[in-house]
Amino acid sequence: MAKNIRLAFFLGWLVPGAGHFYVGRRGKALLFFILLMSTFFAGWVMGDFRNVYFARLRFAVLGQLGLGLPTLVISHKSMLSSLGQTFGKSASLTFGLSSSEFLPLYDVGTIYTVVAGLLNLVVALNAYRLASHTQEASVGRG
Amino acid sequence: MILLAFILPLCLVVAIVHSATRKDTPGEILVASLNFFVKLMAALLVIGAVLYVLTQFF
Repeated sequence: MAKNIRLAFFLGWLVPGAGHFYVGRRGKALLFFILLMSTFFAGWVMGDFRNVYFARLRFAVLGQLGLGLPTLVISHKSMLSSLGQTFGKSASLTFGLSSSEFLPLYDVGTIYTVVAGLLNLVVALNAYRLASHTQEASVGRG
Repeated sequence: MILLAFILPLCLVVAIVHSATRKDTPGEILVASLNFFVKLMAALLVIGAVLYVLTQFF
């Protein structure tokens, strides 16, 4: 059955592996979901839950946005506070680092989240390509 | 050494995801990701060596 190529890409961008799940590649969908989400969250934890946020001239978020839903949810400040409390952090969690702070793994964590986001774009494009193959196959049969 | 401990898992993830977008069966993905991982680490080693040599002169 022909799949909507734009929907495949959008789902793949929103949640890692969702595009592959939509086109019927369940195993790969699970693999991508586990790998990309664990990489993203490992980076977020390394950055002390403060390295995923929107700000002027903060280009890392462009890469992080490749992983749609998690970045949008985490960037929401009230959501960050409640999640921080869940992980035992204070309610007054802020984004980024002040000039007097030093977190040794903050930048490594940012790189992890950016790489996860960029890889998810590759995965979403792959879902788009697989969906276009299903369209060509259905046109060939018709 | 500590930095390498963080680079290795990230390179492994990149290698597996890159290979999984190109291959279909688990066996093919495993072989391709191992190949890509070795090439990636070799490339990083070369870049590191070049940068190290450059820092000795400049």
